[in-house]
Amino acid sequence: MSDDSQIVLGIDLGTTFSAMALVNNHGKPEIVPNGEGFATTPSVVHFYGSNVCVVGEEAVKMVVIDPENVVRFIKRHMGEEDFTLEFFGHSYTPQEISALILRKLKEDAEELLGRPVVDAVITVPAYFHSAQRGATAEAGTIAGLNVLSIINEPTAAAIAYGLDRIGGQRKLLVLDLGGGTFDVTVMEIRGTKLSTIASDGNAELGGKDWDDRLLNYVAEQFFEKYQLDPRDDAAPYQELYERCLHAKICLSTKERAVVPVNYRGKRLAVKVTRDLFEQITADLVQQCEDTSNIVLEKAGLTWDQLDDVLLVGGSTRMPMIRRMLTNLSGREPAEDVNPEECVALGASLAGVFRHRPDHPALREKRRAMVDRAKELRKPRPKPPVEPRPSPRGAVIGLAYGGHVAQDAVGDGATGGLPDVTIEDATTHPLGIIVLNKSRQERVFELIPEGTKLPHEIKHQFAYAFENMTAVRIEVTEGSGSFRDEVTVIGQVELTGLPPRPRGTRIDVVYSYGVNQILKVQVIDVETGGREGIDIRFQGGMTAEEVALARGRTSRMVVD
Amino acid sequence: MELRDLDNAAAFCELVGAPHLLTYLGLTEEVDPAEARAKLKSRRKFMQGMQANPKYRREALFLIKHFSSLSTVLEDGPAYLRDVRRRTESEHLPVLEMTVRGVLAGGGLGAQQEAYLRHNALSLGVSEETFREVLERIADEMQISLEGDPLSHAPSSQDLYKLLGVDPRATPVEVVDAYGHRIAELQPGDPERERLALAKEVLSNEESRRHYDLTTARTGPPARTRETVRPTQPRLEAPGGVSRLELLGDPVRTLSLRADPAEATIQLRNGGTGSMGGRAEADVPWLIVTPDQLDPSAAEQQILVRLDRGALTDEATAGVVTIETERGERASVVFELQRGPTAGNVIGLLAFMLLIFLFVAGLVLQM
Repeated sequence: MSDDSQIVLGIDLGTTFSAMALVNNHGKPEIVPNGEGFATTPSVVHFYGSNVCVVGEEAVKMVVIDPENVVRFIKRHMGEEDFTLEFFGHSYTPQEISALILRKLKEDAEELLGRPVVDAVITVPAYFHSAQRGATAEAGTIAGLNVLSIINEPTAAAIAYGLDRIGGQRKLLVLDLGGGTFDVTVMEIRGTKLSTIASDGNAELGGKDWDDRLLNYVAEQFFEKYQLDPRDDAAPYQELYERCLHAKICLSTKERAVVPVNYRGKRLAVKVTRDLFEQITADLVQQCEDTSNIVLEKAGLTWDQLDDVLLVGGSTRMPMIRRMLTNLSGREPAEDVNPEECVALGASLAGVFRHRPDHPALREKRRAMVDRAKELRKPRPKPPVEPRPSPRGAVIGLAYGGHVAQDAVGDGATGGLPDVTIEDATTHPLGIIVLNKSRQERVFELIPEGTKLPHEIKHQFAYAFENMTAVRIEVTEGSGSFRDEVTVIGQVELTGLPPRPRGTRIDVVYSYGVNQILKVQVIDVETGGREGIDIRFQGGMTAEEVALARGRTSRMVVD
Repeated sequence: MELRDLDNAAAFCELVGAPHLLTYLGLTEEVDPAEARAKLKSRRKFMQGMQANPKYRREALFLIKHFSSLSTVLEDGPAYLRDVRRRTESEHLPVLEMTVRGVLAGGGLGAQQEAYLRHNALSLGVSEETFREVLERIADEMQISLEGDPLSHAPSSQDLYKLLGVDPRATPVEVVDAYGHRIAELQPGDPERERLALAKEVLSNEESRRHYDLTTARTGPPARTRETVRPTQPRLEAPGGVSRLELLGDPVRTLSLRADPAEATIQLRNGGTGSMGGRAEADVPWLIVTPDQLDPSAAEQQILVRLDRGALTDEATAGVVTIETERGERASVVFELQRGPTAGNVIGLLAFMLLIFLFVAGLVLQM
């Protein structure tokens, strides 16, 4: 096994389920099973004392007994201000709760591998904004991990998938419908370069919304009969939710299911057919369809120009989603792989590509390449590399799945990983607040949405008033022309300037790096004086709060 | 507590549909603050388990996010409740003010007018003190003595429509135009300007104009205003005269199932001049109303209400017959269903039983 410093844990921190993976020495990503032996862990935490909690399947069991002390779907509140939950006299932010989930994963991995695990890459939906990404990074830090980067989920999925296709040129669409979030991303693979072209989604649409529709329907049926609503009591509601979840899964393979309701002594078995389920959720499917079309438009492509369509996330198992995508893309979905594991697998690969240039798998390949180059003294016309033929345009789940070691990818001869570069694009425009000619505040966009990273731009502005001695730059995220349509994510102030007339030039530089850190610089053109900050996408907790939370959480017992 | 906390409390109550936080928690207004806060805390805890529940989601998330605001507000119960009252009142205050203006512009403040206004105020949910304050303020503005005698230069001594020189059927826009023309002809400082301004204010606002028209038995056709509430009713230009709907008799009657036929009559009178066209309608299928159209020219008329046993359901207990005129006036009569024996039936039954008894007694005696 590789030595300590080489391990980068790829973590898919999902709304309903989480998973983790590692890349082995042969360059193969493998899922790391949790302490209970499963590939995925429910993102559920149950607090049963002031310093103790359980994460995972055990917590889910307790939801019908002690619903007030169980947290689910916390991902939906990541990056939200002023949102805290109270358990046994302590207040927890969403980051702290996610940290507990991450801790369980970390500790299970350490136990399995017999060595400490520190470095990690965590994934987020492509459409997460800066506060949400920052919060995810904070959660990792609180859990005792060293978060090397935050990666977009569709990118991770495409990496795990795209390795098989390296060497050619392919355009793919990734449709990620998870438990709580929805993302559509169009990506391009050119040789060994993987880049994002366009992305959109809804951070508040996921499998849970399908569950809720079913739950509302069943509750209404029960109410019609008995004038009692099982949603009114916490434990009965949770129990009903579990049954609806089960029924929904059932309806993906069968035409009908039954939801039994037993509330306050009254019983009702509500029959649900797949047709009915599809009817009551038709508008959700429509949303998915509309977003997919919008993203394609943003990318400037049509459905036939795509080479592949990828389904990620457990909710894509629903026939209505597959059908929608088949109708749109004109192709049949393939039945093979596991849409729930690919994001973690891809995350682990991304971790290696970006942060482990010395990974044994990569090293081998490079050495092999150097040796071969030495052999070929004379320039010989090389036959064009044929991309490995794949069924033209299959809608494919992911290339890798499960934790059974398979043949090494890439060249059979040398094994190892090709050197893949990943290019992400911004998902939200970045701008600055300026005054227009009529002295009104407007947002001026410096880096538009979909710009490939890394990217740097310098723009010249002018002093708005006479005798200004200080300049303040407010960095905004989001699309809109007015201050209240966007979010201010950072500020830089350049003070102590000699008073200058209106119209004096000033330069502002935005450098957006691969690690999703935005460096902002303000440069006074005349004097050359400059001031800058790094905007590291704050999640709402200060560094002190994070350190405090880390200390506190480390003292907690996570089962 | 800050304004922000009170705003949050108001927003929350609107979200859950409760008049204020204490009713939401099921507590009385005199409750001890510590108890109220403890109850809110346990409610929040309960809501933690309901965050994902589609039925309670918005309530749960709001309560969790703004818990500290809501808790702060409960620290000072009386102050909070005062704010609640003020907020509800301020919603309806503009309407009340318009009503008062309209009525006062029509002719001083007699006992009748004051009662009418008070009734309006209370039905809007405005407290007595606020009502008096509004009344005094506007009366002062319009220079009407609260004792009831219109002062000589009070506008109520003149017909506002004539003052502005507009037809009583003029739209609000036309009223404002006319005012503009009139004002332009006057010198600055002319007291007439004030009177014109008042006339414009009262006549250009639907609410105040309606009350003005109602309380002044005006000659002339009813006002033509923007029909926003009932789009289907065309307004008849009544040739000379304004009608007035009057309901004679009890507004709550009983219909007994035992009676055959089960029916009653509603007597209506037209207390004004002018034609009174309109409709009569029942809100349940088991009451049949004939005729269902009013006779516009009749001074007095009758509406017959009959019980249709075939359409009667087991759960039916009462029905309402509403009469609505083209001018927008409404009157209702409630018909309660009596299923048990009526008085007459009881007597009949007793008499029958007595007869049987006598018959049997007679038989016995003979033996």
